[in-house]
Amino acid sequence: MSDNFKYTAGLNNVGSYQVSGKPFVTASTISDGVEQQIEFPQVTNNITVRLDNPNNSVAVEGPSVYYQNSNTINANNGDSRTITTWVSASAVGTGDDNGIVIGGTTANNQFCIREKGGQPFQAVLMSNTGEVISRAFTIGDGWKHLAFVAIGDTGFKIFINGATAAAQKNFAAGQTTDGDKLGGGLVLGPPGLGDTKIKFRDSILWDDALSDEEVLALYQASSSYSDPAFAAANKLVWIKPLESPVDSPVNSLLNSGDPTYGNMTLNAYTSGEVAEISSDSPFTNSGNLRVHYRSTGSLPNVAVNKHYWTLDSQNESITMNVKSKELYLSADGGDCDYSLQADLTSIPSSRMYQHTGSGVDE
Amino acid sequence: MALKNQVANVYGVGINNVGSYQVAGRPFCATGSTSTSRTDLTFPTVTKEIVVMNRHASQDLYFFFHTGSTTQNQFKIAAGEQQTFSVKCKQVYLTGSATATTFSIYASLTHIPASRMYSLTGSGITE
Repeated sequence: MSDNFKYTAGLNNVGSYQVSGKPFVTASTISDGVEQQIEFPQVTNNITVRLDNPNNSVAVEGPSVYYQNSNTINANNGDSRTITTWVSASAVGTGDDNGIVIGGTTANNQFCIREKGGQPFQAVLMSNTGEVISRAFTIGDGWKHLAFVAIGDTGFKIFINGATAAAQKNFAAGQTTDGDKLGGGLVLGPPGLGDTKIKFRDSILWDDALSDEEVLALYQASSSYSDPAFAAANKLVWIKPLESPVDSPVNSLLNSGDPTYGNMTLNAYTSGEVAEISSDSPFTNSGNLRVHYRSTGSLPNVAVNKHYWTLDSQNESITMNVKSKELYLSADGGDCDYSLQADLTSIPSSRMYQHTGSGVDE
Repeated sequence: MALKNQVANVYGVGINNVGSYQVAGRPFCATGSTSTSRTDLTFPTVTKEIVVMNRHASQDLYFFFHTGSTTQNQFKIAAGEQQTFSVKCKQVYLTGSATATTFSIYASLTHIPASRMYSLTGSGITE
């Protein structure tokens, strides 16, 4: 057969769109006001975009507790750690239950923030000689950003919404942190004996002491969904959570920090307790995801004339039967998690023209 | 002996043969459960469409096309949700956000032998 009669995949070749496509899957987060271009290796046949919800939280009430069962995070005497989290206590119990609210170890509540009736919280840290230092503090109602900074040879600091919440508490001269008590993964709950519901969002265990400036920067930046990062400290554990809202019991929580240390699991749960993913969060913005075929940056008509499709509720999606070599997604009014799947033709993207004109950028 | 084996220019099924995808497919159904460890599903022939349903009441299901798919290349299907993929492939993979994440899969299969399907990799699959 002559090569002149050999059919190949082409932009206007019907058959290229009638065979099932090659899969393309991607998922990510777009920060408020940011635009992301997605380039396809071949021309698309169908594209589905779905809005996921980043604004969830972990809610716990009762003696059940989340922690990491395996791959212990070791620490040495004199090491530093920081725990940061958004936290909301819907009601404060009057009893002094001494339960961990949030901590870096399950070992006898010796590196943690625990419930203390009437305060309602107390930070606790043990030194290498066995002396426990603590500081009680009030956190207030509603969502607050809490930071507990354990400094290896000094003591600890407590911050709420980036500002010092209580005077720095120091070890006696010559004492340091105790590695055995400092090690371990992150712990969430219990908030008491069932009289307090506490919600957590973006709970992070850092492998070093964050500076005052870094704590403030984290508070100011974490109302955005951007990945918080500092040169001096790494995230050993980061519970966002990623899971969809669901009632109790949620048996595990995905760790977005160091994958070495695995996910969190729920322990000692009994019926009637709360261990769930709530749709409540400290972030009031619920972003809209805009889907469009040209960039808003170079072509203002895309935004001005609203040449985009908006997804504004969780798990809302759109499937588009279109040929394209690229797609633009942008977040408006808040950060957006999204998932995208497409079926691709065999047509090289180099044969595809760029979309323009009415309905796209005019 | 089939006609296509006797005559050289009789068409058969093929990975780029339109008719192979236009005829109604052969059904493939599977129900099971997965965990944070990967579950592999292999199809006897190339697919034309796959429907995946997360049957669990609370846990998320992740669906992907290569053992080396990154988290970003895994499609999350929330509890009780289902998703349709109009794609050709011979193998798919699932994980759950926790143990006993139950799922159902329906696939419409072509008659194209799985051996003719190329390996999926690259952008949107593993990167």
